[in-house]
Amino acid sequence: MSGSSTLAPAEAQPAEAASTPPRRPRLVRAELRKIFTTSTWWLIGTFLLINTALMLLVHIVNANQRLEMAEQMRLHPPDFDNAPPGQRPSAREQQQMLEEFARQTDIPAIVAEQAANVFTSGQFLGLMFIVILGVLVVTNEFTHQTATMTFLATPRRTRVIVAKLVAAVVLATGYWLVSTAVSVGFGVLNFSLRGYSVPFADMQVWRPVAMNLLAYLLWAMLGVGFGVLIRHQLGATLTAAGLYLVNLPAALIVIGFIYANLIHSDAVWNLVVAFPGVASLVMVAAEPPSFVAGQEGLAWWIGALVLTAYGVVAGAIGTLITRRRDIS
Amino acid sequence: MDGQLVVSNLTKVYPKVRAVDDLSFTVQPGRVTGFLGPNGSGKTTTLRMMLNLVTPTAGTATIGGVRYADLPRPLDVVGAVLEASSAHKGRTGRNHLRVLCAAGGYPDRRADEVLDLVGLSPAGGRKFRGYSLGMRQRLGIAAAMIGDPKVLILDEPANGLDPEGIKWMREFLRAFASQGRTVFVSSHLLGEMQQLADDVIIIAGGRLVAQGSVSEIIASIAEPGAVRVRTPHVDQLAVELHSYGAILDYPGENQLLVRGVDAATVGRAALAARAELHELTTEAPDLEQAFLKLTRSMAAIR
Repeated sequence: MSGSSTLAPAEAQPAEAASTPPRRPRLVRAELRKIFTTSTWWLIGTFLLINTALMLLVHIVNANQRLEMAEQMRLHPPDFDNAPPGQRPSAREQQQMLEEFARQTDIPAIVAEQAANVFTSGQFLGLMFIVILGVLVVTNEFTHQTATMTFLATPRRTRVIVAKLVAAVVLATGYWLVSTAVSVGFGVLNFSLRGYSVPFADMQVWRPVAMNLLAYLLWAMLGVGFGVLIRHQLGATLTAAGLYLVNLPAALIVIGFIYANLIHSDAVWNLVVAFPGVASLVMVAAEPPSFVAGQEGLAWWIGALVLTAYGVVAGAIGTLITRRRDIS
Repeated sequence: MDGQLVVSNLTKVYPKVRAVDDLSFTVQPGRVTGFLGPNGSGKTTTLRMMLNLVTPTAGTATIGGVRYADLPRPLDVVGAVLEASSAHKGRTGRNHLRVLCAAGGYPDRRADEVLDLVGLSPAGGRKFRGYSLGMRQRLGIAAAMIGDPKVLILDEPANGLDPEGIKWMREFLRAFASQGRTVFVSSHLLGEMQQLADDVIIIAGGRLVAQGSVSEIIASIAEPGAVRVRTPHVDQLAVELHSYGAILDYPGENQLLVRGVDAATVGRAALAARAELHELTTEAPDLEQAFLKLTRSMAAIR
């Protein structure tokens, strides 16, 4: 049963061993209990759900408008024969216009693109709530002075931080599941009521949904790391939320400064992906977003890599700090 | 494993103060040991170093020969009730204990057992926010008892408790020690320890001042009490007492408070002065005063 107890000198306690067979400590369960025995989880869950519902509505309305436009357009294909003589486009121009028309009326492609949007409804603010969740998982211990009890039960603090990371990730997965179930449920209902079927096998559809999950997990880890760095609950929450929200403008300002004063090369703009918020945007984007005019966009995996690095570094720094810190 | 606590050369240096300075002592099982010192003398820091919550600058602390950090199942060995230890305000007492059950590897029913043990079962489903100070202290003890430990370590457990709560705590700790287990309890009041502890360890300014059994310590530090005298012949008696080197106070009409000599000497002086006595009583020695005197000089040199 207790595989970890081999580290200590053997001790005889027959009476107790008989009445209470030793069990393995379950630190993740302890952390999940901490979350589920207070109001934090459903408060965050409620905000998440309201946010998802509102954004879902916006995305569905938007998707329907796009599809309607495309359907209207399809009724009026370019008619070169009726063009007045002299104004008739060249053969090459005709070819281009036809291609453009085909692209704008490619209903399956539009459905796929819009489905990706609908299925990740509420992502931007949702991730902010997730980062706050991670922060709370740690700072609650200090605000309510339960850190003493936690570290008395588990003197090996690395295990506590790992358990907190896992618990935050588990909870984030739960929130993602609920949020995605709602979005996909209502989204599919909307599309099928209008006679469209969603191409789930299309990478353009499932990849943003999967990346949304990855973003939830990584931001939860970032939140835990952040909570360790700033123990003050309100301070940590506001700072984390603030940094998350201003990440893109901040990235543009910083890189803009570097571009203007240090390295005058267009490629420098790609460095915005070094900011976690931007990395997150790159990772979850349906189309690779480009930050340099005329250049190909940044691939999703670059964002995923950067954000994972942040998650790992935040977790590692958090663990190191917690191991050394005096609890008083 | 026995429940002996051994602290050796324990030292904690903060940027501006040596909170604990080369402190060594031993605490024996089967007894209640008081850990005494004025506020700010390093008691809490010492306890937290013994429990791996604060990292010592130097020295070691072991429990049954093992450092706390190396105990595979620490709650089986040590239960601690510390001051800055609390529960989430919005969590019920029972859930607070169940979190601990999961973290320590105990079945959930253990939460109900320890609630029962401290008489808190009726309040188990209530949120911590609504607990009185006495209930919070009981919940702390319940948490400490989760692993049925061999050692209890408590930091100022009587702080803020009403007399009934203090009595309950005292009986609980005495019963625990009488089972051959170790109780180490800090306090800044010697009087409190006089009624509870078998042994005391006194520190001041982070250093050891005295250690031994309570009776020994009290005998060594307490000054003889003052002698209260009521007599209609105060002046005559005072003149006579001065020749014995007594120090006199005049607390009221026909009254004398005599220090520096014992009651027999006062009686002899009264006979010599032909003074009529209406009262001759020795007041109890003032332990707190003696304790303060003992520790103040140490605290001052920090």
